[in-house]
Amino acid sequence: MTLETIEAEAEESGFVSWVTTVDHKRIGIMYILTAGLFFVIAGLESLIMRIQLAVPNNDFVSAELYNEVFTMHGTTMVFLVGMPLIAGFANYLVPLMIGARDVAFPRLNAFSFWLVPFGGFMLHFSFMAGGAPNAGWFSYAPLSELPYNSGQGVDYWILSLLVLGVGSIGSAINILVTIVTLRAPGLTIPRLPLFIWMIFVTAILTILAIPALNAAIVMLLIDRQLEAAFFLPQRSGSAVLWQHFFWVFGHPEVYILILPAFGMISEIIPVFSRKPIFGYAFVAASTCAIGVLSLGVWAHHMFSVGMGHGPDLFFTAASLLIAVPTGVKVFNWSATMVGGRLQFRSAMLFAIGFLVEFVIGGLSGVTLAAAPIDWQVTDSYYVVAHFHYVLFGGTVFGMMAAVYYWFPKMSGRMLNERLGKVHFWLTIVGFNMTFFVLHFVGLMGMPRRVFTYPDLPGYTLINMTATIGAFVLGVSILVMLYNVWTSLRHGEKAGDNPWDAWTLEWASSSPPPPHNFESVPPIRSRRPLFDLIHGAPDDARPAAEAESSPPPAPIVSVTAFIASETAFFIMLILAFVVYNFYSFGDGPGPLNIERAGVFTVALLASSGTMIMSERSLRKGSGAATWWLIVTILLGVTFLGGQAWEYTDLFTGGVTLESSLFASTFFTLTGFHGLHVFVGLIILTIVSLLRRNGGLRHKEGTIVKAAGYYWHFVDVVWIFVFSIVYLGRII
Amino acid sequence: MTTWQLVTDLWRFDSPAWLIAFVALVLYLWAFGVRLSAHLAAFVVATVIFLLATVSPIAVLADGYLFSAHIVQHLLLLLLIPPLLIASLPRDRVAAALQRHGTRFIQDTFGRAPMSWMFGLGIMWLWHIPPLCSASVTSTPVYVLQCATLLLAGFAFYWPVMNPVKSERLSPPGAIVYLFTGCLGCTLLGVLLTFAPVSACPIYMHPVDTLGVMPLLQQRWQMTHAADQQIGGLMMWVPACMIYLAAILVITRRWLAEGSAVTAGRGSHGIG
Repeated sequence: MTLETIEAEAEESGFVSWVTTVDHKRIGIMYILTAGLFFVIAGLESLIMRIQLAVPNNDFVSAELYNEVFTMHGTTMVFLVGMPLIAGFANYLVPLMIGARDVAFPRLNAFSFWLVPFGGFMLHFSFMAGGAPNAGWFSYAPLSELPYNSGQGVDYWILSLLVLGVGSIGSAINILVTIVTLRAPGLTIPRLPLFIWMIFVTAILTILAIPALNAAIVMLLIDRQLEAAFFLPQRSGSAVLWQHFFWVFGHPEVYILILPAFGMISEIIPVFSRKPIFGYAFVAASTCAIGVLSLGVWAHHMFSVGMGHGPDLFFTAASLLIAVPTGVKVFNWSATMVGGRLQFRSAMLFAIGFLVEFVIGGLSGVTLAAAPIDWQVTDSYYVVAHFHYVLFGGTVFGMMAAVYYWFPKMSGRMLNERLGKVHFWLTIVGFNMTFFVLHFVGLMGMPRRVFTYPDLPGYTLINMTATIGAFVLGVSILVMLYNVWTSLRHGEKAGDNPWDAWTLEWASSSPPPPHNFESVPPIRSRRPLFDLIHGAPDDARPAAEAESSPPPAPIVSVTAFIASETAFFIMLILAFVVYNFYSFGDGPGPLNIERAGVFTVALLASSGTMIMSERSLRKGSGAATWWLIVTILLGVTFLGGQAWEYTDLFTGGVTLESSLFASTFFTLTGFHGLHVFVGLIILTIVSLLRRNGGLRHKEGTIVKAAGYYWHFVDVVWIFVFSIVYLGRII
Repeated sequence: MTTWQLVTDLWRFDSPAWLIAFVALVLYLWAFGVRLSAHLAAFVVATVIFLLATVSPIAVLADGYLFSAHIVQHLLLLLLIPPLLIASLPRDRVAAALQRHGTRFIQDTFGRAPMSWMFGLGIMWLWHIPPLCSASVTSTPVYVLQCATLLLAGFAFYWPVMNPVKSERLSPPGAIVYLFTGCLGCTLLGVLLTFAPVSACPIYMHPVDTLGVMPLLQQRWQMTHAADQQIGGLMMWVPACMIYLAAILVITRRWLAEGSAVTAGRGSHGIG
């Protein structure tokens, strides 16, 4: 992307220019607007639920419609509001905050964005196609399986989530590569704004967690469409495995949704306290720790499944432990405010609101971490109250603070402060009125996800209060939308840096020009704009000469992509192990180990020829293309062997749905074969580009990146072969 | 037998491990001198943990009674003792020694991060193949081999992160990725053990009770083979990961402290 094309594009401002844009700022804004649209839709769905629950034995909506509405509310809020909103802010802010001109891959960025409205519309189209998904946002099997759910809603749910998942991973890889490779000189990682740290950890979690969901929903889709029985207990499948797979994704997802809000708060509170953040290192390091930990403690969502005392005990302990670093961070933010000159602008009010509400959600979370309490209140409104305090009181309050804080940068105009304060107080009143009382009705035993309730003492009063609160919350959103609407046209001009903030995005004009910066100020500390006015600390010097150059973007991106694919294959391999080694019902499959061994050698040899190709490329010899062609031929040979094996199995009557062995075998080796096929396409494109001279100076890195992917596919096969073929001999 | 008796009585005073620990301590003091320091403290703690793993009731229970005790022993040898041993080496003297010709092989052997990672995780997984796990209980040579390889694998795993020669260490982001993936590998094994409905180490299914411990385990502790295996898997899954996590925290904190505004200047790049 050259400067000229960016400039030329900026001249246009019509509808087409927005649809075709690859500018990270426009894409960021489109992400945020799309999220806003779905926020309104999902909000209206929640109002339908609250109207239905306002009085006992109500029949405002039918039980069936109610199931669809709560499923869509949850799914939409997580995948079409939370994730795109985060992607939007990350897109807009990351390049600006690190002094870059754009993200690393602008076209991939546009692609990732357009998958969001596409997935969202596909999901909502299900309403018109015979019924929306109705098995809850975590679609527990076997309720989501065909015998219990014969409509197409769950299929729409699966396909939309796959589409959205691809978009999320694409966007996360893009952000990660941007942060790693495009930071301005002097902006070392220990100097990154905390928002960038949080987005960085979020991106890593997204890359590693979404594949677990993808593996699970692909298996569910195979169950529903191709008659396998992964999660169907009556055919020896395991419904509990669905829960494990879902929460392997679901728990990190909670952190994906909350960490960016932590980052926003960590930028906003210091600026409006006129003090640097208290304990920068702790906030950053504990985020890394939480990120690691969150991938391993999913089982605390499953206390009521009956995992046994051992797991309950360990996961109670681990979950209580994970609360500690988060709790300490609340002290970090509070201590930042202590002794500061506080300015209670709307952004700051929402940030303080975040602290208060999130602490309530955190505390109820600690109670839920204790297995015995969880047994009592799980699937009651207590849980609903808890996670709304985390996701609304935490994430949404953080996002609101971010809107007030960064709107001037995005639009060039200030939001109205008076309306902002009205919005804030209506939100506080409406939110607590809706959700605080739900703790009580939950403790009384009112189950969530049931469309109505009998007229029991206390139920009606509490539910009516919650419904009124929900409408107050609805009004508060209208106030915000009105504020945005009027301020866009009549708002006060913002200027470059209306808050006297210290991070790089405020060094650019508001809104920033298409190329972001005329010149990036020197970076000698965590607060470059503070240094501009007050001078840098004496012994701080620009780190230019000491700085090693970042690794090339193709290598970083392919590494991140491989990490994501590894997570996906780990899930499929685990499924194979569970269904074939944990129970011996099916007996060994009719596999031809010798033949597979021969084709394995072909595939492994292709890694060798790939290395030869890279080596001759480095030497500048012309043999590189020939080695590439040999690699492709060996890959084709392997695929041929796999086709041979499949044909034998099919003629022997072994098909995908015939046994759990067959289902897991075809799923695992089929996805591997698909990856080999994709690898072949990549290698073919690389060879063709090489012949046409299309790679030019980047040739070395691109062939290397393609090689990484190819070696990865081979390594996966080593595991698949050892477990599927050799494992069955033992 | 009561739990208290188990803790006090089941020590193996005839084990050669005492001799090994003693000789190691003497060699250490001979090599680095008798001086009270954090290094010496680390070495003493490592020695104590070594004895815990090899002669204490943990070792006795691991010898055919409890799979979970076997896992604890395993974790002590693989994950706790090696980093303490590396920390006990006085950095400057060892760094100088490592540059010399004769000892250069240590850097060459353990200095390659991908190899060390695979060796560390590979040994951990290898000893959990059911026949090997059972053999380590029934055969003394296999048991000794297991202890030795676990120590060695732990040493290899931590070396690229804690190398006494600072310039040879992984960069902080590289080290974080290294430990993080190590933690995932450990978690994966723990998950498989925790939820396995079949025995991961069949020798523990029917212990031969020469010490009269079984009544305590089965009646007072209510330990079944399934529960025992679950606890073993969970030890591998949760506390083991905390060790990696602690290392990640230390590295991140140190990195951020080095790179903060006042002492700025050191360059850094992204994930390696």
